Amino acid sequence: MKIYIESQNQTLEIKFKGKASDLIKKLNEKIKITLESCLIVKNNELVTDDEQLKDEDEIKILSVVSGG
Amino acid sequence: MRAENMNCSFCKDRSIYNNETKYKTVKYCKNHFIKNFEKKVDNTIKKNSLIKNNEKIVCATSGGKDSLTVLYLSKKYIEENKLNSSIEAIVIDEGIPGYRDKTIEDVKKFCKKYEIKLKIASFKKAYGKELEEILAKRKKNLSKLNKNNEKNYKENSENYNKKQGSPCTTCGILRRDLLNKSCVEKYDKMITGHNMDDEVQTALMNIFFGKTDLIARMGPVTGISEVQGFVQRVKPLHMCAEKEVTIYAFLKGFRNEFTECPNAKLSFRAFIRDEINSLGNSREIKQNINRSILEILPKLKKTSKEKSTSKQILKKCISCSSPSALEQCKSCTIAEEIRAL
Repeated sequence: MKIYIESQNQTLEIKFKGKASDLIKKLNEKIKITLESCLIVKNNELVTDDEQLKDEDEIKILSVVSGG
Repeated sequence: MRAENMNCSFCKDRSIYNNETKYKTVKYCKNHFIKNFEKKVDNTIKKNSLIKNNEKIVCATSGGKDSLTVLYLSKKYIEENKLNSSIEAIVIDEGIPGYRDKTIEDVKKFCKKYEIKLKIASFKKAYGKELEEILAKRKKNLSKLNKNNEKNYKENSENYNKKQGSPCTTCGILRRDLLNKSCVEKYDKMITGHNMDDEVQTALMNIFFGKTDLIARMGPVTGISEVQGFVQRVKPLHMCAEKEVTIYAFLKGFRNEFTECPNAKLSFRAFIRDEINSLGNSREIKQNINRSILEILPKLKKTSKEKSTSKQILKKCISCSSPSALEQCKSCTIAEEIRAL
């Protein structure tokens, strides 16, 4: 799965299949990120925390917090 | 086929946002989210009389999702309610390279699209220097203090750090001052994009520092009473979670490319924000804190008003005549300090 993390301006490639909220938990092990601090966009559509994600989905993690 | 529990609570469309509380979960599709968000902001404006007829209003804008959202919705409110009020925008250019130059372009584009008059006020013009230079000068002052009194290095360093704080402290004082001085004569009211998360962070920071008087100034209408020399500030988004504002801005296309102030991560506010957001049920906690503040605010404002009347707490700054709790307001103290270096 390709994941673009907006706040870090970087793209990660990991193996993942499951709920969007579980993906955030997994990412939180590496970078500081919580469900409240991001929006999850799957294939250019905004999705909820309980959306099921597939390994082939393109994911963008957008930042909620202000930049300044 | 999508499972039924993924649908909007109000129609059959796909849910894009779930508002979960201890007792229920309300799911919103794109259209119902926008409708509900706009209704919430409308109700906040109406309930607290944040925008009245025949007012000249200015919106403090940064180019971020909060200020663009509140600018758009305030204009919409004036138009839909057929008010004889006007709204313009102001942006402060602190001169932060790689950050403010980009966001100013975003504000310009937005204001052009929605036909809103925009004013740009800069640190350079007002204080003679841009932020980086101001911060560097103040740092130099610290070294000078230490050099003159090496024996008391530790004490000086600690006192000066307390006085100077993070870059955001200096920047915040000067920004607020410049916003006020640029608008107080011309406008009846200033709209800001502060959201619920901002309010909760501010309240907790004030509690941490024991500044209950500052909590009294919070709420949808800032201050404890109207003070001559201060433009009244109002916050139509104060009941909206930051995540909700971001979703609205995303759906409306107001969200610009993410740019972050290089100093933002150094602030105590950022620390408080990250700590709250890392709590499992942070949304509900923030809603509860916000609700609690709103419940005690009338009492705090009353007490604070009585205290300020009896002790004549607000004076006039000896340098600029703006209302100030001190002989000289903080921004004039900083301006004097950087001029002297």
